[in-house]
Amino acid sequence: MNATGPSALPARAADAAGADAVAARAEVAEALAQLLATPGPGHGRVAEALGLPGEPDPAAHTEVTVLACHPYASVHLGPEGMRGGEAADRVAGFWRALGGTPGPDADHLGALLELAAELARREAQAAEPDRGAAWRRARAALLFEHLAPWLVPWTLEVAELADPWFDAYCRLLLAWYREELAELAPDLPAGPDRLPVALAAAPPGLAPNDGQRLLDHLVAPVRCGLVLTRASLARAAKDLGVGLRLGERRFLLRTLLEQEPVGTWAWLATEASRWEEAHRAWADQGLPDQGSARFWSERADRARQVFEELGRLAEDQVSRSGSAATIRS
Amino acid sequence: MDDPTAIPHTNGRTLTDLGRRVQAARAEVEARGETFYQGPSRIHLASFPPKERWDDWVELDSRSWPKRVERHAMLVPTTCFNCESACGLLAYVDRETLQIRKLEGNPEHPGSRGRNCAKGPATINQVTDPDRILYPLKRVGARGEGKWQRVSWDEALDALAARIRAALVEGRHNEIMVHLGRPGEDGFTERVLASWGVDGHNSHTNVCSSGGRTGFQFWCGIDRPSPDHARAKVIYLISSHLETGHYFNPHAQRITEARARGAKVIVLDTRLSNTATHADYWLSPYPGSEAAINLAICRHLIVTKRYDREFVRRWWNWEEYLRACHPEVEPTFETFERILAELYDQYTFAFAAKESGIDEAVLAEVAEVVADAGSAFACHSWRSAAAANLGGWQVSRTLFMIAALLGAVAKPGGTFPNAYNKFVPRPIHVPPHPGVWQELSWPLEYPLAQNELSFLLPHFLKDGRGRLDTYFTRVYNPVWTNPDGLSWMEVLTDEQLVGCHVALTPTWNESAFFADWVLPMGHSPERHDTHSYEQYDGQWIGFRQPVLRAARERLGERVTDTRQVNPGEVWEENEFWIELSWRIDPDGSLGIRPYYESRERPGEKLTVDEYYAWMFEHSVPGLPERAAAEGLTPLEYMRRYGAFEITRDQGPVFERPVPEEELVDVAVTDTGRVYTAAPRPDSPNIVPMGAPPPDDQGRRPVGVLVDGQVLRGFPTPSGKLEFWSSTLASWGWPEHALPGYIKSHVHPDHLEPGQMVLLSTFRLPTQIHTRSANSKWLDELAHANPVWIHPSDARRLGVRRTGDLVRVETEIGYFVAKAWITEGIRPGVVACSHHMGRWKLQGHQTGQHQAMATVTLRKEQGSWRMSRVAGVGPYDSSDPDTRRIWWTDVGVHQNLTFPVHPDPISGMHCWHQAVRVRPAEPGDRFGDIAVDTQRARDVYQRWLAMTRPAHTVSPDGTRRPSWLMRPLKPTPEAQRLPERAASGASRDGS
Repeated sequence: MNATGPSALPARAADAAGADAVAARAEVAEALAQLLATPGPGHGRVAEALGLPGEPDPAAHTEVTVLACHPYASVHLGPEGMRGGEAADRVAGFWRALGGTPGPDADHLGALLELAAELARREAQAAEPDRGAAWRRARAALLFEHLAPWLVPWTLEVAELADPWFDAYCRLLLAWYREELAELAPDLPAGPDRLPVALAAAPPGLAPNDGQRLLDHLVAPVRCGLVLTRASLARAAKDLGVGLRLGERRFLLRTLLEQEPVGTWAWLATEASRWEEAHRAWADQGLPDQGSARFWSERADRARQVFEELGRLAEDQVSRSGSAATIRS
Repeated sequence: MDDPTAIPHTNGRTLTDLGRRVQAARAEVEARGETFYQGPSRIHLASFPPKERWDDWVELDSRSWPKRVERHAMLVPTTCFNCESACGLLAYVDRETLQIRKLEGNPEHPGSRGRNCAKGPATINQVTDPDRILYPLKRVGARGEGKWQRVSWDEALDALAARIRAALVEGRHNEIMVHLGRPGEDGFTERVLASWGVDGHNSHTNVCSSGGRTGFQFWCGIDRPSPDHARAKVIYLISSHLETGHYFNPHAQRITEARARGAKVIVLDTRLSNTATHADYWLSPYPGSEAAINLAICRHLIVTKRYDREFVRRWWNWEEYLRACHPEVEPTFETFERILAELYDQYTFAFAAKESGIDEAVLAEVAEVVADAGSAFACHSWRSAAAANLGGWQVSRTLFMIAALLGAVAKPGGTFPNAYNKFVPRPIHVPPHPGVWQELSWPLEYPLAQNELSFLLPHFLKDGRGRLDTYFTRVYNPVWTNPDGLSWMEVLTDEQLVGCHVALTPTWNESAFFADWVLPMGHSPERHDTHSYEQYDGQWIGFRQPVLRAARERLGERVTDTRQVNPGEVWEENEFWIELSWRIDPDGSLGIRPYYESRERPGEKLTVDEYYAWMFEHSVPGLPERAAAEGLTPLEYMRRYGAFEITRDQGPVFERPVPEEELVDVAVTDTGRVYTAAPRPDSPNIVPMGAPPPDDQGRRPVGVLVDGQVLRGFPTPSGKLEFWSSTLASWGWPEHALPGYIKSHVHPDHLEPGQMVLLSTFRLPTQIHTRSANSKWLDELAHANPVWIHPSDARRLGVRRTGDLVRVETEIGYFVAKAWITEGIRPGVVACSHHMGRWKLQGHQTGQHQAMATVTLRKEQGSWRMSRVAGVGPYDSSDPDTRRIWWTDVGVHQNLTFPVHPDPISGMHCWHQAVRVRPAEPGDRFGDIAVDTQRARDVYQRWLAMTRPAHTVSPDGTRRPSWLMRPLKPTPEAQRLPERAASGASRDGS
């Protein structure tokens, strides 16, 4: 068969090289996904191939993936900060739209990374350009709608645990994420104000008059713009010099507020400020996900304001009566 | 994190470089046959133990919770034996006890891909069944009296070998018969019989699938369809067979994939089956009208010119049809198209609506969906309608016509001939076919029968057509499975008709009660077989093996006989047949012994290890190389992984050009059939298919001329898809030579006032034929078979509520069952599941306790009466679960009340019954059965009279068209009509 023109061969070669790079990044995504599963004999081999420092400590792995930093979209985007609900359904609907069957863990970060790898491979292996373009659009939608709204906040909460292996893991994950954003930028919604549906339709942020529901809202990351892990609450107790009771996070927060209301609100305001800065720093990079980062930044800033206001109220009460009103869940 | 953009620990690598590094690491690991990503997949819904950990798989013992107690197991693959799908299983063999702990799916199996239905894991129940048969038993007392004596295998083998040897020496070859239920290894038993020179293979196929097979065979010379469900756009299923038989798990998972992609599923099933509930279109036709619906769809494709014209022109034998049936016209394709439209013009939607009772508009909508499928039309029909109606074989013939019109033959998402997707490896020894013809299985009345007339055996014996000296039933229960089971019991208890009955069975059954020898055979983890089934467009083989043997060999032990590791003295068939054959001909004087001798050690007996080592080394392309890559022998590879995929994407084999070297001294007929003098190339795949005869000069058919090119074509006489069957036309049935519609014996025109149709051709998807009874989990899941009755019928009949007893009267008797009033059945039709109603005789010590009712059986005034004494209940055994049996019902054995209905063409038993249903009479008790076996004889005679025997129609002086498939093909001399019959033969079939 004759060549169709002088530019035909270089164009195909370029396409092939691009497909090769897509497939290679897909492999990174799949390997990262695998490492979120319960550690097994194969983990060391995968970690080594990724250049990670050995294998994760089993206890740290459990802490990150099971106990403290729940790697689920619904935990970060849902109105109660819990698994399931509309946030999980939104991810499941995406799987169904692709012709797949969502599993019970469809909104788990590992599942979404595996799905990203699968879609990238399909794009790289597509026999027809139209099919390839369709898979590419699916990749872009997955990245923008289902990873961008919460992936960076998750890495920030993992950083709280200060585990060296997971620090390295998250840096690699973010490197993969940045390259995906860069490569898919032409297919992503343009403009700093464009938000993923999950954030555009997010529940309202914190308000000082949330009253009895405030504690619920404090453990819903999408409302307050920060993630209060057990580790961060333990740090709060230590910083404030108060006792840390055993229980779930709302209980911990309540007991902190009962013991030291003014200090706790102040500590929360400082924490919100720290998160606001981290989100803003990410937004300032001008990546295609800056809309998401700004959303989180604004939510954290709003939370800071609320915490400061509640802190002032608490201070007034203490000065008036010698003790502050408690918030009960 | 100081710098979130830095990639840690990678020495400046880019992410792409890192990805390539992971790719390389993965490739290296997988090249060693190991698993790189060992964790569960979250996108493929799969989680399996990685294969490199199969030698020591660790799980926590759930019963020890909250303590963390580790259990170590070896994972050993085998193949499920609980239906024909042959799905892969992994046995978890405890490393401490060396016993099987559980069975799950084998992810290395290409057909089942690690998944199983309920029947697979339930294998563990069969292995540990407290009632199973563990030792050889010999009858004491009268046959059927229920008294047994434990004997040694040597005693049984010597006694049987002596009987068989005497029969062979005395020329009584036709007095030996082996009757098979669940198929074992493809062709193994046939070769045993061939080595004995015996045409004694008998199967259950004529009560199972021969009606479906017939329709496919007449089209393409291959008798099974292989729908490519996963890639289909439209999936068209006749009945719920999918969920109850072949190939439930492998097909269902692929249909699920297709549905997720948007494929439409159309199900024709009178009953609201599980399959129907998943359909986009559920059509509930009047039973027997399915072919009318198929033909209306064909007509729609023809009238709207939505058929693949080029495919029809190239591949249908239209030219042969025109020359034979329209010699007055110019044999052009355009002429054929005109005649085709005329031929099928009668099958309008209105016609199909009248026959089926389904609205015309619905039929038209479904036809449009089918028309849109193009070549991605996957269809399946097996038992059910094709196995239930007079002329049922036309259901599959008209179904395949839809595919043939759409050009959906062996295309992606289409329907393949199964031989394209099946691989039967050539074994170490292949004996020639026998020189005798077994008329008890292949009688002259049924020259076109697809398979043995197995269910007529009692009547043939009563007719005096012959006797059996030694009759083996192998994992088969004819008394219970066949219609007219009490006629079976009558001949099995008559030692003049059946001299010796040997039941090779893993579990007690109603037929084994009437045996002289009961010899225990293994379940799926206790025996060797190879299997290959058409489940997608690819070829694979699966290996069934005694898993404890393989486990011990992994630990370095040497096992030379499967009985060394099986429970009790349970054996496997292969070693049994080798040993029995050796003892029949210990000195080789009968010519049998050479087929059981080792090649490695001449003069010594063949072992199963050598048998399979030779097969896997010489007859499975690609396996030796794949095994070598892992440092294994082919046998070691199969023992480790249990399955091997040989090819994928076979595609349209019929379109392949015939190589030049096969075209020697070629002759071409007027219609393009090409014959060659070149010998047939050796093929390691001996998959069964049609075998068109040579031409007058002895050249073999090699292909067919299509547009000037010699292509492989189909294994039919014409080499093409046979729209018109010259075989049917020349063997006495010219009126049915084209795909058409035959009114069923239960067509409304044939029913008497007050009669309804009883649909009995379904079962529940968790049931195994005879062997559900020793699977406690399956027994618990399903243990009743009520009679489905539509509410309108219930009102009309006076059946007030679900659970009321009804009496269902057939031509030869009746049964009493519970009613289930449901809208899931068509008005005017009742339905009752088979696979229920197991029984054992009162006073017998043997039998299953978990699912067999205790009954009395007596003959009164010429009629048999069965009455239930007790259902099932808790009992003490080695299994504490038997104390937990909470159910008493085991269903009703309806088959006893069915007379035989052999289709005069296909030979298939037509299962549907014309019945009368009414509330039970005072004194009727649940499970009561009455049967008049003399009336059963009358019905047999009436159906026999519908046949056109070979000696009146054979066009060439033979008993049966030689090209049709047959498990054993007697020599040409044996195929000729016997002289007594040939004198009545007519060349023109008149």
